[in-house]
Amino acid sequence: MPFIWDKFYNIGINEIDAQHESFVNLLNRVSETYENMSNSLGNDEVKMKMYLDVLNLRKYAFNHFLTEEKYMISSKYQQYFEHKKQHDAFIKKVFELEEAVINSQEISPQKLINFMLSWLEGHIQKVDKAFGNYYKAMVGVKS
Amino acid sequence: MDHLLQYYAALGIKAGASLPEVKLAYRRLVKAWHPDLFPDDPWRQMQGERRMQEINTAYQHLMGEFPALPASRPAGGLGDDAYVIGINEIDKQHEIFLKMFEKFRDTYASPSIIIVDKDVKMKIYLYILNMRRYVFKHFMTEEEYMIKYGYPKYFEHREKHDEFLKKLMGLEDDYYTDNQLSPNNISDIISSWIAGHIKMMDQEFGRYVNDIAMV
Repeated sequence: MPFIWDKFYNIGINEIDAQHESFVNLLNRVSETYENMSNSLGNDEVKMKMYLDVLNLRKYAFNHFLTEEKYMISSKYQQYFEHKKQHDAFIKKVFELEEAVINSQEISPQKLINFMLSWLEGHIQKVDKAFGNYYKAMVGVKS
Repeated sequence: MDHLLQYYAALGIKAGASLPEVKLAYRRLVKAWHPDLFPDDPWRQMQGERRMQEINTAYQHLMGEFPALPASRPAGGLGDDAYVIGINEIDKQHEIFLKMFEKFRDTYASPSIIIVDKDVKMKIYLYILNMRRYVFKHFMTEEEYMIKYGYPKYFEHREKHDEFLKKLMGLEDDYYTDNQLSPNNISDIISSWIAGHIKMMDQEFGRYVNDIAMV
């Protein structure tokens, strides 16, 4: 069941919103991998797919977080550092996932999906939204 | 020559002092006299400005006395074969990054500068973020090549990349929160990492690819 990007997720900064949408697309692709893999756990092909998904997540994280951080700095956002800490924790978690996929026999896409889901709910929809509100008030972006 | 003696005197060191001695003396004086240190005392601020002028002039002239200093590259240089791994796209990125890094070092990472101004500090911080962005982009390129060529040491190499990225994130944090960490420290850490990494690991990968291309 794919997650549909909803305007509700928008924080009101176009560049960031487009990147968030790509995160949701990535999440959808990962869940698809999971749904299609039936009972063949440990399958090398699935493992490779998972690994590529994690790599994509890593790529997303680095590009996207730096974009957000620039907006925060340029608008002198007070919560910048706390926010950035969450970004770094995410990146470190992605590094861990990479290791896990490479080293372990058992693959658990559900773990990856849960991680991404909780990020969507706990970070994008809350913490990023808070920044979006600040930014709009500060810079006067029309929403 | 008279002038030279005067410059040594301005820094409070004996004539013919070594490069580290000059740098150290300069650093100490800047820490004592920088006008930004006295925001509430206009008189000392003025004194500081005058002293800083003398100190800077002396420092610049004395530094000119060490012409052999290979200061501009993290050991060796771009012309240095040790940095060329023989994969065009990667070599180009290394060159761009080294230039970016050198600009950082030459603009912000003089051993003597204390950053007191908040805006300048922020500018430096942004510059570090930008370097991290470029490093990341570059790592992705290298890793794509490794996958494409079935490089057997891919994971080992990639682990080093992740380690470095973690280190950069840590440095960013420390620089942001801690006034003790200077751009100079950061510059030294980055410099020694890239020198070691490109000369060893990247070279090894370059040889691997070029051997394959020969077959």
